[in-house]
Amino acid sequence: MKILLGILAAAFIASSQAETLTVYTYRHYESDEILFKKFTEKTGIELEVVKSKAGTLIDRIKSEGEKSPADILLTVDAGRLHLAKEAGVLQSLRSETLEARIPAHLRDSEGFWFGFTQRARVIAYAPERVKPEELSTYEALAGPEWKGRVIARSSSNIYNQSLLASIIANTDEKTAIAWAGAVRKNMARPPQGSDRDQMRAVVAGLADAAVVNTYYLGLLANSDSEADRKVASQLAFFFPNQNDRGTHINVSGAGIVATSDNVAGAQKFLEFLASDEAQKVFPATTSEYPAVPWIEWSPLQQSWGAFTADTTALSKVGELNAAAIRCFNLSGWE
Amino acid sequence: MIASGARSFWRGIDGWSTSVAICALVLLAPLIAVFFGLFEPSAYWGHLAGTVLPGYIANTLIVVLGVGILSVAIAVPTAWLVASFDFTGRRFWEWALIMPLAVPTFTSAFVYYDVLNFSIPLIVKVRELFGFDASQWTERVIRYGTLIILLTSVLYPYLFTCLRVAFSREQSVYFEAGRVLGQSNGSIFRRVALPLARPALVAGLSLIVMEVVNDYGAVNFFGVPTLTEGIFRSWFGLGDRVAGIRLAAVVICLVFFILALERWQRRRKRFAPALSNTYTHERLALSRKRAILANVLCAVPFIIGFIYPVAKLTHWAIIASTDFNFLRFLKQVSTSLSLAVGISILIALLAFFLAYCTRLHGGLFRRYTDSATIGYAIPSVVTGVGVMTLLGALDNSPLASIWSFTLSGSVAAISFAYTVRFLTVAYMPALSGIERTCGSLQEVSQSLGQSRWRSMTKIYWPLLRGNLLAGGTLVFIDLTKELPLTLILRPSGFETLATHAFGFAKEGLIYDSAFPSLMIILLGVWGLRIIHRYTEI
Repeated sequence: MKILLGILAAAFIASSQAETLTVYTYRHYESDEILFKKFTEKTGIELEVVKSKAGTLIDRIKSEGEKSPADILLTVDAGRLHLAKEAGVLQSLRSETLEARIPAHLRDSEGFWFGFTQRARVIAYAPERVKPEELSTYEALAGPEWKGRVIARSSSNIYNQSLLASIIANTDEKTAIAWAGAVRKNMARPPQGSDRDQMRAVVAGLADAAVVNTYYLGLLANSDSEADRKVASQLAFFFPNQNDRGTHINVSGAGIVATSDNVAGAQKFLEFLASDEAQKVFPATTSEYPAVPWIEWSPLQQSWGAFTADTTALSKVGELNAAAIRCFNLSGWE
Repeated sequence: MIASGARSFWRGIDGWSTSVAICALVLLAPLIAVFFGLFEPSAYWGHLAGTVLPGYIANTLIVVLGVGILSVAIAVPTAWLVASFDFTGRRFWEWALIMPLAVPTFTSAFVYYDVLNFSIPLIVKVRELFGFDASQWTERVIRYGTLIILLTSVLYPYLFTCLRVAFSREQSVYFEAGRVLGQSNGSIFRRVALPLARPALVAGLSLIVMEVVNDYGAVNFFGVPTLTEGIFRSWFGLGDRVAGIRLAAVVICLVFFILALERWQRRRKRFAPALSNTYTHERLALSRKRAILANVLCAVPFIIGFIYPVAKLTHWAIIASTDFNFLRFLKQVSTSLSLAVGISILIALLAFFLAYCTRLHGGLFRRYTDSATIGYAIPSVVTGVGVMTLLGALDNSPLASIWSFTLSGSVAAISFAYTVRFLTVAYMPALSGIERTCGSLQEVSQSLGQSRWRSMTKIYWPLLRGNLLAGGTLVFIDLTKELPLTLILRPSGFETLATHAFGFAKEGLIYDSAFPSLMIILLGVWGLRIIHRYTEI
């Protein structure tokens, strides 16, 4: 009982401290902790961090209403950022610094959110079984020559949803359903596991190619485990759609919460995330590409080579997220 | 008749009954808050029903049935062996077979998905020999099988503990009678022990069913989308709250359907409690050969549910040990520990109070208290969002000006949600303890001029201490493993061992999740040790 009272007291004392910024985040990375610390050192603003399960933070801000302590919402994927904007939990911000540093397609056109890191959705393949000229686009993976040779994870995964949303954005829903259905039929096994498991399965010979996120490539290549590094070394990577719209990318981004009572501090935080100092941290720690174009990539990213990224506005992709889930449900891709 | 019923109802209203009614109402409030939305229009319900819903229901049924049947297959023989026979190693197994309860389901899922990767060469071979379709079926059987085995391996102890107590205490006198009448051990088991253990079987199985339908992590990772995964997808993916709630309602109906089916099947059979609590039965000694066989039988679930995951995690922990952040780890241990200890004590006390109140008023109040503990049957995500919605509404209502703090995002909010979900875990043992005390105890005490408060603290408290310790410690173990509610409601800067382990594992940083996972297991084993030492479970 005493312990409980102690916790309660501590919680109340903690919540009454001044000059803080509360960050609600979906991201669970060491890199972010490094950055949060740097921000506090630089500005003296203490950060309170609430990490949560995908999706529920928006509901939480909504139900907390006026009383919400949140100042910043930081999340992976444009779809969620868009949901947050639609739900009315974000506010728009005009910042010359942010607009000058972050390319237009990586942020919301009305300034409700800004992307800070990018990940590309690429094709990992076994070089001894796939010739690079066999690979061209995401669309080509639906062809009959890929029967039983391709794998990907579940459609509940947000990166797959965004990829399909980008296909809808560039074609239409009917094409997207047909594509997802055909790729599903080509899969060497039903969708499951993480992106890392897809790559392991390719190396083990179950399939020849997998649709994966560059973040996970970095994870395997930099792993503490020798077995993981071996898997990474036996794969080759291909950036699809180089001759048309470019490879699909996704962002981690943030926006200022509508009910924030420290908008000035929140703006400082967003501008800090876009600074050279912060942007340099991402390639080195999480193998995410920086959003600011002139920041140097990590040696590993450089080894994957330069690529043309899909510049379809991510706010558009975000808008189509629900449509993408619907198309997946109709296509049979579990 | 009606008049007398009404009169006794009014006479029943006093401080005690009002407190019980308020408790029940407060605990049910978040669920009511959510289910209000059930009949609002839903944008995607029609679409879901026409596409993925049948698959969700089928997967849920397959996993529930698979885990249920396999749990019976493991728990019944091992519990019977440990309770009825004497063999070298028996005392060890009595304790070791409940140890998998300390392993969180999500940890087990990550560990066993790795095993699934080993099956790839076999699937490739099948494809070469028998074609694509055959390989798909092989893959499916292996994947569903592994999922069912891993879920069973950490959940069967719920059934094992219920059955072991039932076999060894309640019915021992019947066994002796059977033996005297010349029945063989097998025949006593089939004709006496098993039918008599039925309430225990049902109690254990219903806990398992509720745990299985609540699981999100394991089924998602194994590509077996169940109803609970559907709730997440429609609520937080499609942004359709009403569709999410409706799916939750399907889950709840499913759970109650299974429970009702059992009740209907049992119909009028009645199960009298033990004739005597003091009767001790003698265990039959097993021959050397059979003792070896018994040891092997007990070892299988223990290895799958405990030894293998712990060994694998230790291996991962060694890989991750190079950049281990000890300070952060200590902080998480202290958060997990203080939260779990504090709240499990609170829940145990509340359970004791409610259980005692059933003694005061009987029938009607039993219904109140039972409904207060319904939270366990509700998927955690619904409870979490219910608490969030309710407290958010309170914070933004005129009422909030009475107090100066915000309920949302506080430790109080998360404690409340834990209580809604886990009260029943402590309430059930407390209730069974109350039911085993003499029915007239309360009247005797009152007729001797003792107040209810004094009867509760001086008579029932000493009698029920063991049950409360067991119940409270079970809650403690559940809390150290708890994930969905913590993720949805946690205050700022709040990181428990479970959220840390899951967060890293989900992002593919599986090795970094090993240390906190091992610590959760250690705390769980410690809790089980307490239960095992001081109580009969």
